Amino acid sequence: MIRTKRKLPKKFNISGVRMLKLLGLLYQGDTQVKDVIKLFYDTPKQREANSVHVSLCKYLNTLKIIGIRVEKHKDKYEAYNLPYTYSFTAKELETIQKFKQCSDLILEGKSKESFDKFIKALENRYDDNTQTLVNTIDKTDLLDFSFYFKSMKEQLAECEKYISDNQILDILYALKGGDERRVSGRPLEINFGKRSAFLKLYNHKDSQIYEIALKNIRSIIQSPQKSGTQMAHTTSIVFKLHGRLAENYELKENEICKGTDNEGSLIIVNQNEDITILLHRLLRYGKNCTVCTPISIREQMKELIEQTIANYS
Amino acid sequence: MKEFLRNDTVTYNLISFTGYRALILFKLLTESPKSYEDIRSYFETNPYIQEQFSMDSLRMYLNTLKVAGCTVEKTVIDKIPRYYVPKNPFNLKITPEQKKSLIKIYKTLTQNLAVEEIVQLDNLLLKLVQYIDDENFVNDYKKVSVLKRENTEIVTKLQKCCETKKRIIVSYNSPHSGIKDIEMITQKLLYHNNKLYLRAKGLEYKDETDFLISRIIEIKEIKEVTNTEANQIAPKLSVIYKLKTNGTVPDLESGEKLLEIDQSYATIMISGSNSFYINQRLLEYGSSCTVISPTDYKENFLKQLKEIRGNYD
Repeated sequence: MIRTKRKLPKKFNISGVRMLKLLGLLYQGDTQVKDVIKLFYDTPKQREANSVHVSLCKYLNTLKIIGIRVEKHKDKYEAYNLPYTYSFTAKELETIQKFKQCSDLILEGKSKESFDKFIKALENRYDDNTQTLVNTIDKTDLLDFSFYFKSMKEQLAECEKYISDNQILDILYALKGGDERRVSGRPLEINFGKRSAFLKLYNHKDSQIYEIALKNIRSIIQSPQKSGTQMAHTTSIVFKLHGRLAENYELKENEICKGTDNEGSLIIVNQNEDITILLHRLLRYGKNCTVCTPISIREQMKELIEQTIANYS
Repeated sequence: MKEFLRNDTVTYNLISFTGYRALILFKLLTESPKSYEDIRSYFETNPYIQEQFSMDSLRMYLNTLKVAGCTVEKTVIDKIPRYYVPKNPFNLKITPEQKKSLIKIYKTLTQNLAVEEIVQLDNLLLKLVQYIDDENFVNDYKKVSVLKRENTEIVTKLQKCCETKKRIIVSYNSPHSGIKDIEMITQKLLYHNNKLYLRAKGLEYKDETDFLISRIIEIKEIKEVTNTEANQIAPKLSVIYKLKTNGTVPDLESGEKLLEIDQSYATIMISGSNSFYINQRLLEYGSSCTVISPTDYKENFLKQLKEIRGNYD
């Protein structure tokens, strides 16, 4: 029992706090022995190595009598039968398994490590029934699309590296119709779609975003030039939606609605989307959509429609 | 110490009694609100404690729980003050990086899994929201959730109806004709353009339609389907189109069949009972796509293109 000086004016038991902190560390999973030992280094007396280990054993014994089993594996502690656990059904465990398998496919490096820790902390909280169910669920590949992502695993790792290097990339890639385009810019992130992954690139010259399907990339040249960390404003595209579409339209993450015009058309401002992808999406909406500004993009849309009409002449 | 491990006999030298008391108090207060009397009598009868517990000691142990990160609150039930721990530091935590990864995986899975599996993903995240110690996580999850607009109870019922192709009557909020009852034979759930649909054979017009699930207010009646009704097949539209691919095999959707491929073009047949989606798919390709047959569809498609072009005159 100690009386602290300023921050904690009330009386409390340091042993009680230490006990609960130890429990907290065990809940995290993959508990490092060195982190546990640090809990016992707060008084000069406890800095003696023997004293620390004697205290630690006392605390572990305390956990044992309330039913928590703690096992030491090399430099880590594993706790079993922790209180305040969660219960999951077989279907839910299967879904967690899908999250894990998908993380193996799309996460790399530190993100993967960090996500694994989250899953470990969740698994540490399974109750007894859930623990039993875990052994019965199917651990084989539950994702029928994994083949597509596995085949681009190397490309994904390479792109993650480009993003962390933060150097300008010069990319040659194939467009939907088979034509090729070259674009240079700063790699921002990787997005995942239906059986495909896209590298998002920011070109500071035209202030546009490019989303390039990894499978369409023909070549990448990494320039030694470091890219700035700040992204300047990207081009905002304003388009109007009319009729039934205006009533049903669901804004995308990168869009805001600026209300309606006199004719009841919805005014949408879109940012940070690949313009080619956006124009093709807007074309899908038929006569219920009109691109307004900037004029250059409106003209680009007009040209795309005229080229399509020309297929029938 | 060895003695304890062998026969589980507990003495003051072998466990941390202060730590033990803190753990027991924590356990009691997380279960339900407890009065001083409840706690005192529990401590007196506990086989390892068996001693008096003063009000001063209780205050000190409550402070201990607070210092360890618990929220301790007081309530009055039957005119007796009672203490409880509504929030503790052992709840599952999520770092911003882990949250980003979890959402990235969720989005990837929703793009690649069947609707039934997507519903399970959402149900799991909805459950995790209760366990994760992060108030913002609910909003972050809601922003990306596939079921953010849908009533999950209706989705689950529809899912079951689709399994056995039940005949149902729903109250539907139509953007054209307002709220009305529609009778239909359920087929399957679809996730398309970030929206959830029910594909069903409408009994009024005898056609197959995709109903936006967020517009279904309630399922009024569920009935079995007669054999005659079950065998009625909605008329299908088949469109043949040419896609510029420069020799690469295109990604086909369900209902599409590759008829021919050469160095420049792929010839594809798309079939379905919903001409709206066929239109949208073909329009999105822009100038890479040319409709070949049937002639009346081709003419209508060209007419549509000209109408879109009219928006830019």
